[in-house]
Amino acid sequence: MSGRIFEFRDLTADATVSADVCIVGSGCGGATVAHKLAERGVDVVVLEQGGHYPTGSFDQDELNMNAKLSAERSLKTSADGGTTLLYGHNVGGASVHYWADSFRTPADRLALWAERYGVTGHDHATLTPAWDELTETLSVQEAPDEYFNRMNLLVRQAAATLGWQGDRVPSARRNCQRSGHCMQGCVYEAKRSQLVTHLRTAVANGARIYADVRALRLEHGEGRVRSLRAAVIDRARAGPSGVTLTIRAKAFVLAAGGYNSAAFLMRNDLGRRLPALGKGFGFNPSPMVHALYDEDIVLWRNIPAAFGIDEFRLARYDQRGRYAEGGYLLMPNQVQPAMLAATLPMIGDAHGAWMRQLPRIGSTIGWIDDHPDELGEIRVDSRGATRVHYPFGPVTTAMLRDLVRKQLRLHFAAGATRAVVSGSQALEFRPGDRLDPVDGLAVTASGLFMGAPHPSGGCAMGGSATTSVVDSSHRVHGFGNLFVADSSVFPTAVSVDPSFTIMAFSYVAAQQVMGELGGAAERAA
Amino acid sequence: MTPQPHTMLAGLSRRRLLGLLIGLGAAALPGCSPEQPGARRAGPGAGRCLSFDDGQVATLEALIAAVVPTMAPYPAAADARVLDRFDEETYFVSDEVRDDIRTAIDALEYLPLLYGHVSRFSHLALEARQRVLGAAMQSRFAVPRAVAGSLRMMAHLFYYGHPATWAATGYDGPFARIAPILSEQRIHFAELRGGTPR
Repeated sequence: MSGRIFEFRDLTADATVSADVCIVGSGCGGATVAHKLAERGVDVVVLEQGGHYPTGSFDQDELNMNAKLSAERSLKTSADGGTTLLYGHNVGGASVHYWADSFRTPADRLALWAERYGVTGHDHATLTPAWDELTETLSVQEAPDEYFNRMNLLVRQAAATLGWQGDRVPSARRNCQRSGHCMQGCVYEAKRSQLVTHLRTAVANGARIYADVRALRLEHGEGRVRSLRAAVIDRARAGPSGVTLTIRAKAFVLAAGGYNSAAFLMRNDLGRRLPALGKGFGFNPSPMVHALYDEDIVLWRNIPAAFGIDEFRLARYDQRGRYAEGGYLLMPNQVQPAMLAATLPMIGDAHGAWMRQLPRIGSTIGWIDDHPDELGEIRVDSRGATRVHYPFGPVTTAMLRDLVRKQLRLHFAAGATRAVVSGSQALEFRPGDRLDPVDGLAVTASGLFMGAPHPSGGCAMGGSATTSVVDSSHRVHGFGNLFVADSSVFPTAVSVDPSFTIMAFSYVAAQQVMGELGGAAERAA
Repeated sequence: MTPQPHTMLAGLSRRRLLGLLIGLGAAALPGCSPEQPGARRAGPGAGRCLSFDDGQVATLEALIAAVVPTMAPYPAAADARVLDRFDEETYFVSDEVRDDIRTAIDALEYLPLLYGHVSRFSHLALEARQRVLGAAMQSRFAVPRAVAGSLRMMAHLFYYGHPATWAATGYDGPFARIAPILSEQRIHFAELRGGTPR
């Protein structure tokens, strides 16, 4: 039996939809759960508030595709107005515009989650079969030589010069055309996003996907969710069409993504009974440094990151416990020209002079590993709007400045003639300059221009309803049939790109949902 | 001890601080009355934008002219439809993001007061606007930095995202030269404006 993708055009009258399982969200978490359940014959419905844009609608135009794929058109920021929140708003979620980096969760991180936060059943041995299968399903491989653009080659050479450990990046792609449009959606379907992998197999196995449908209200009692009310969105107007759907199911899986799942539960008035809701939030702030070279870099072609530096993944502390260095991944950067221009901090002709040399501009980026004692919080204001508060604590600030310093060193080791920190102060350096000005660098409120593509936490997993939101079966504390399967369940940041962790955790979640369905069948009998 | 301005401001939320800046600015400058951020004002240019009132349009035009290059061979901001794109992108975001953008524009209009100008931003000469923006971006205070930094980013994003600017930068365009495939929203917005996208 084949399923189908419904869109706003198809949803013209109020309706009640019945299924075994209702999944809210179609990104790496929701799509993976849908895939695993549908292949076992479970009747699945997936709700996605964004639109369905098939690959044939991808035109590689930077602004057009940002508007189609990125939530709030990439204009929403953290509460301080400084860090851009990057997440998907389309069938397939952020996987459609992500870089496809596919790292297995480091063993030290799984151990931290088990020992400090009480997470069980998500150890390396449990997750490895999932990663092995995903490696096949998503064509994950380490980047071969032909995927190295000039920036990647320079970063690899400079890392060797500096003695910094780095490796080829495993990523989910096959038959890549090296167009450089990973972030605009891959028209060639070479990047193995959820849109062209798990969601396709789920639909082939009968799943029904409802695009343009926003989940609103859970109806629940006695620890069980009975139904979910949802609004159809008129995609052209980006507002409710007036049509509502009611979904009745035996189990509900919240996979709305790290920026949305906690807020959804708050809007459903669950904050009081779940005091940890929204807390422990991280988002991998990612500062950039741009630099001029004496040769063409052509940053906008080939894959974003074929090579990454993991020398500094874990932060280092001195004998007295004070921060010393590290706590981030350092990567070649890929931004298309308009985003590069937006993150170059000059104005007027000074900005124009840099952009006149666009082909010779290189760039690096790093993702800090959010410090577990300096995490932020998701809140919902009186209008129901989500606000992301992030404290940028002292260790976080030190990490960001150290990451900027390391990027400057990397660029100059790679042969750059000038480098500018992507931040309001427009700190500019030349080879041999002292890097002391970085010590006073403002990091909040556009001090650094940072994107935040990797949210974590807000519905953290753990053993206690006072310190976590879901238990290790992915069930929301106090509910038998309400699960969460996305990055919001991570107790801390993953320290690497989270997509492969989200998918492997979703294998566990799907298994738990199967168990719940078996229990429901027994109860019915 | 008399509190210094930055210590008084430190305890206020960003939104309250923006509101304070706008209110003080509107009260301080002749011919301006305090208004709600984003409130529509009728005037000769009413209807030019769907997302902004006339005052905000004037501020945005002044901002755009100050941040895009004037040197050859760059095209004018109007040729790159920067204001139109500001209008369209802001039209489709959520109410709270739209309010944040409008509030930032209103705050920018009064930002010159912090830098010794008894004038609104839109009334300043080009070089003075550039100096105010530069000073705000360099500020150690979060609000001026966020206001100037975020609006500048948007202006450059929309300017350099337009094909009219690509030849000046050496960008050879999207890989496959696919003709633009307009979303439902782009078509809807063009219909509302009675024009064509881009």
